[in-house]
Amino acid sequence: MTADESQIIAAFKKGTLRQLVASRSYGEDAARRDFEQALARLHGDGAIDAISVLNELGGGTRSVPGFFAVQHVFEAILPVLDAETGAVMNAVVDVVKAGEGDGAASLLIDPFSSFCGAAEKRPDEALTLIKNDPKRFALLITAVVLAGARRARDAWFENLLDLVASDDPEIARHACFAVGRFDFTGADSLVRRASAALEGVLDGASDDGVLASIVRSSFALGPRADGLACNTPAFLDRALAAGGNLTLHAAIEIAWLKHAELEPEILDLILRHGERVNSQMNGTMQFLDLALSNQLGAPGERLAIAFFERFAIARGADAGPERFDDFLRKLCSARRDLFGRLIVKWFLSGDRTLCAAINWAVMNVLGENESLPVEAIASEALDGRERVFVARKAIGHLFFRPKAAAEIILALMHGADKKSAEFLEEHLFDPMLANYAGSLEPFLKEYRKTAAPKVKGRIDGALKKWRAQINGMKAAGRIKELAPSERERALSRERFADESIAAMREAEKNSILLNLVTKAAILHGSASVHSVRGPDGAKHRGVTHMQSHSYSMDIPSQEMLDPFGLDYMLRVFRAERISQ
Amino acid sequence: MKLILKEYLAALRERDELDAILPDLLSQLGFTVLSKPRRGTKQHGVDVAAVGSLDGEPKRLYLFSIKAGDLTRAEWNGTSAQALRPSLDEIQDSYLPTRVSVSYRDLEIVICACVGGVIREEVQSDVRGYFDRNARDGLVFEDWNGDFLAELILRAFLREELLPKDVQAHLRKAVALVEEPDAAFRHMEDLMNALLDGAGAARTRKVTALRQIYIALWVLYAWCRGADNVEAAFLASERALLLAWHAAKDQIAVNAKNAKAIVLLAQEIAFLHLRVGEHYFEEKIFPYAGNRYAVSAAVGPGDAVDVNLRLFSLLGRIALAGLWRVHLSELHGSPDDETGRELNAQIARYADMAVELINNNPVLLSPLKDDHAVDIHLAAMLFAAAGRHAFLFSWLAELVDRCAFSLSTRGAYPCIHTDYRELIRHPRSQDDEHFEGATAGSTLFPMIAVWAALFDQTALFARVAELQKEHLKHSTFQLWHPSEDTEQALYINRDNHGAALTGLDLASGAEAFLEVVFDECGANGAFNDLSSVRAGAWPILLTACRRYRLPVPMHFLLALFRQRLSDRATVGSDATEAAAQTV
Repeated sequence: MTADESQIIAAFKKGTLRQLVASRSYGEDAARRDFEQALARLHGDGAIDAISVLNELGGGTRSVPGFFAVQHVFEAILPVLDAETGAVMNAVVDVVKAGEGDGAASLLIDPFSSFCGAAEKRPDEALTLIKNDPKRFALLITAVVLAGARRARDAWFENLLDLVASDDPEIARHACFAVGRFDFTGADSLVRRASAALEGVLDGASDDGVLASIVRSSFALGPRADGLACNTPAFLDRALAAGGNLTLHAAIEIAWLKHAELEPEILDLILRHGERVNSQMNGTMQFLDLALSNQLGAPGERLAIAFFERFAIARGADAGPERFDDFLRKLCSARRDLFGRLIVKWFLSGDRTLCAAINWAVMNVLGENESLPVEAIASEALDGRERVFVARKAIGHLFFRPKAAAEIILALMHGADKKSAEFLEEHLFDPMLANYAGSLEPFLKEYRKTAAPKVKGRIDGALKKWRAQINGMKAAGRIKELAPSERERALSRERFADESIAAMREAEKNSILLNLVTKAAILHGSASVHSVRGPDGAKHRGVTHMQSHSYSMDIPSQEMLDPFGLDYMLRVFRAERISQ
Repeated sequence: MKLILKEYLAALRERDELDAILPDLLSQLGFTVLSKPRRGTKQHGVDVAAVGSLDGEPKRLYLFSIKAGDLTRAEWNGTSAQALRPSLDEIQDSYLPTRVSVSYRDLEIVICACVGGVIREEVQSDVRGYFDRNARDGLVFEDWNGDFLAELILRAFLREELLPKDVQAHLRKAVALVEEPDAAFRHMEDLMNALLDGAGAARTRKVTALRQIYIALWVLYAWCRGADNVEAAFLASERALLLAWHAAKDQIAVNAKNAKAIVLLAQEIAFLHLRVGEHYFEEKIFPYAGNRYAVSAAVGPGDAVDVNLRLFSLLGRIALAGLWRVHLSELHGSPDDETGRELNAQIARYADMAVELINNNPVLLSPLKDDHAVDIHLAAMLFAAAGRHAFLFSWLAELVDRCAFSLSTRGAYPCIHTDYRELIRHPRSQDDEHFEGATAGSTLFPMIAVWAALFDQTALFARVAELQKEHLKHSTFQLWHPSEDTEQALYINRDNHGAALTGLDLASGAEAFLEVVFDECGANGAFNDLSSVRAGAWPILLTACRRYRLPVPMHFLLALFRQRLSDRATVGSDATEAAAQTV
């Protein structure tokens, strides 16, 4: 008896076999394989009941320690396990259900299919069990059908069609899904029959799960043959119109995964239906974001942008930029000119969600010193009123990224008439320069070196106004009579310290780094010395020198001088609309 | 203490500053002051004339010619109109032959060169030679320098039986802490309370106490100027003004020498307060009021709240100073003579400066505390008095818009908190419970509504009414009125007094609202019984309101309301007459 076998038997007797399996799932490949073989062998010999480990998993939740580690071991041994079909089906179904909500929940379905296909009678046994208790076992239909088809395709295709036509929605749902996974290689006639079967189900179908499966399978069948009923936009339209969240989710997932081969007409169709997506469905929203992102730079780009605009305007905060982070990241980084043009378009729309999307992209994607696509912004044809309006939107939404806001104002100065240029100059001075002189003065001085003469003049004008204001403020200096008292200063410092500590604690609570490392407080010295024992058992001395790190940010001066006024102005700029 | 006094005397910049204390000093020393300095020129070389004796010497007639600071060669015999030697010549040539009353002709005459600092060495022999050369029988010359004056002040006001050592310590500490105005003020307040409490009801002792306070204020003011921070002097003189009024208010109608002295001292303290304020505004604020954000930035805030609190306080102070000038103009009564024109120009200047301050410091559009209503009301009164109605209502409209916005976003909306610790954390929470607690009452919005209604600013009134309906239904809108207990408590800020007119519902419309407010004013006799109102010294009441953060009584607008009613009645009867004629 090998050491693995002894260990396994001992653990089985002690009732700790699950823990042992979990612990051995991380070993080196060869050792793990030896262990898996020993496990299968002992089960076959009747020395242990390996399925009991799966039963133990299925009786709990996915938070059971080693839930997925144990499954990885069974992923390897299930196809070769000699066990009763019903017992394995029960165990697999329970484990899959216990893992619901996790992407790896269905880890054992394919191994189960292999297990099923490993003995001739097993697919039939399984099918019988499914038909007897569809509610419990229907989720194994695809695995069982594929296992059977690997032995007798035509017979099992007929079985599949029977299942597709079932009155039981649970069976129909999984059977329709199995159509998309069926191996039709070299069998066009079967494809056409499958398509017809799906169309037959679609007529009068109302179950969202069934319709979702139809949508998935229709896309799987589509490229296999021309002229299929399920290959037409009308078919998809009917399915989507009749379906609910699950159907839409399926279509959107396809729009993401099959973006390269998607006909524009089909993409348009999916996106039009996508407008009614339930924004509480986080998974669907995530796929939608990825689908849109994939279309940037592709033929469906225009459709994707148009969808995003319609969706943002219709849904407001539900369509907040964080829901479309992939799309916005790619737009801002890979499609810069387009982003520039959209900045103008979206600001001009005045729509809060679209404007917030620009803000999000600039704040989260654009580096602090990275420039906006100024030329693309400048190339947009606008009248004077629109220029000023876009500038105010830029200030309202990008005030805390002063360089970006200033770049937009400067870009809008190109081709501006005298009156609007004066307004733009005024805005460049106040609130931009007046609040962020520290960063904007050097930026503007550099910018003016290569700026067009008219823009240069406006920059000079803004700088002059700012200098006059600063000189006026410097002239007054500090007026001692107005200074806060010592008590007030102490209370301000106390509040600031309290807020800093609270922010620090909050940041530490959410810190991934601090969750991974241990924390030590050093009371004296500028380094910590520690010793650790290595894998060889030897002690190693380590010295960690302290590093200082700092972060600086520009605080707008109005934040102190008139914080409410600043907030009020920014909110007004964000809220105002341009009359048509 | 003597060093502090010497420093103070040397720091007096203008001749009239030394003038201001010399008569009181002499009175306190037992002299009879015959003439006090007049503004501008001397009386034949004499600034102050007094009869009395020092250190048990025989009674003599003292004629003082005053010079602030050190006496240099240029100031001894230069071309300046204030040069000392020509003044002494003038006394001998003109005053002595014609001005000395018959009753004092037998007394020895002392011509006194009074300087706040010292007679500089380079000119000492000239002065001494002049004195020796011109001295004769019955006429002697003396110089009273800062050191001697300090000694006299100590002897007259600050000797221990008059000013115990622990009370003297307050003055020393106040002077030492002028850079921390709150602390300096607290010491001055302790000093003033100790002196007035110690004086009790006896008029003579009250006179002494008020003179001591007056001198102490001057000392503090001079030291504040030296430190380039007059805040402590402003706060102390404002408080002194109110305490002095409380001490003087019952003496106004009394025909007794000491009663008059008490009233006069209260007046002098009031003028000193106005002088400190003028110094502050003219030197520190007005030159920069037109510079965008300059005054806001000059706060050197540790927290954004600091700018808000300081600027509203400053606005209230400027407005009140302007209203004092309105009062002085009323007292003067002749708007077209030089003084009248000057006072009107000052009123216009203070109003313009308040306008500039608001225009260039937008924080003044966002009151954070409900008691900013006091400062806003004072500013409104000044603007109305100076004819700046258009600005007043555009300011109030913008202010109300911002308040509505802050209330709707639950940002920095006006709250009832007054403690700094609360204010820097305001608003602590966005929840309804906190919001309703922080806005449980309001004097600000009813006050604005009164101004709007009174001047037929229908849109502004509607905006405030809408604000009440939308955001402040739970808030008790109220206005404060004095009551019978106010007179005894108002000027010294003792206990709670007066009454709040509540149940003010703007939804009933402007006319009904005005009727409720001014019916109560008409029915409330306590306002007219207030000593400051009876004496026509209404800015003292406003000073108490500003100082103790009491809402300004609406009685100040009662006349406007009645005028409005009468105008309407005239228009109404004209219309009726016209209609009748048509028929």
